[in-house]
Amino acid sequence: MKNKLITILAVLLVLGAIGGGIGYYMYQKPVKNFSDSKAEITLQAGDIFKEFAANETSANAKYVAGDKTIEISGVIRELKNNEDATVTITLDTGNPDASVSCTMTKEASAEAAKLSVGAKVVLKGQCTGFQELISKEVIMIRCGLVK
Amino acid sequence: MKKILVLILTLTFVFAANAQDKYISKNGFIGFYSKTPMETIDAKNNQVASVIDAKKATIAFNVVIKSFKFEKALMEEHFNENYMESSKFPKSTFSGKFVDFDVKNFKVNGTHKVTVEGDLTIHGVTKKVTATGTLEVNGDKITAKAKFKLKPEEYGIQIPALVRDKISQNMEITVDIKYDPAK
Repeated sequence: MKNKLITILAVLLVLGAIGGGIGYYMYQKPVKNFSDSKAEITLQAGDIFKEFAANETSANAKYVAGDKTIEISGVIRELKNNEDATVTITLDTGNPDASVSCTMTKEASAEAAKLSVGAKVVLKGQCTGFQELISKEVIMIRCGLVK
Repeated sequence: MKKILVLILTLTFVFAANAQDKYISKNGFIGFYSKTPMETIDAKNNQVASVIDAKKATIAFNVVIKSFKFEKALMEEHFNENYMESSKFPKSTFSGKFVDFDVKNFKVNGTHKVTVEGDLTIHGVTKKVTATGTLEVNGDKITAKAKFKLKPEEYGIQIPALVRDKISQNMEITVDIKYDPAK
């Protein structure tokens, strides 16, 4: 009888420890590595821009929600070295008033800095939305280069 | 004839030099920080879009909420899904003016103390706010810096009682934006 009780307590303790461990792991889990995970959607810079310009709400639901890794290909219009040692690549969309802005991770920035304006590039990362205050721009962050 | 031409050219350059009206940034920084004995929350947004109109002495910000970066996945998820509801309110905006500011100072190198007053919209709620900060002018580059505090509840942001103690009553917001002249 006593042994049974001890066994039950032991099992509960172990389950509790596992539960606590899982909880702790979930709590400490870092943000997804967008720059290095499998792309869930692949498209051209011009196309993702068109979708956001046409209907921002549905584009947000499609590209921003759900932490999807988005892969974008396009032509580099501008390369910017940011103060925090990251690089932001601005992609052409075929419309001078419109662009896709891709800020690279620190790890990817060193290689991104070697690229030149006019070059074709494929990169992937997290899409966070659309900005319309200064011309129009689809925003991507945590980006990495796709070989 | 030559004198008139020189005069016209000179005047043209004078007007061109004064044509710098707008300063813009697409990579501005806004961060917020909260520290309690239970938890430290540190979120960074490096994608802030902002415009300063040096003629009208106005300033506007456009902040995409999903661009706030946290270290921990769960925190970023709670921030977007539970608190800010960023799928419903994807952006935060500010539109206001520099109070009692001599527009001449946009061209005077140095650090100028400024007070900004305007409409701040967060989570779909708009409130009039006033904040102080500085404008550092260095040739045609301007850096705006400010620190101020916000109460999440004032913008309809519901933080469940269970975790309320993990977040300080007021969130400390830091603004640090470097502007270039608009081309």
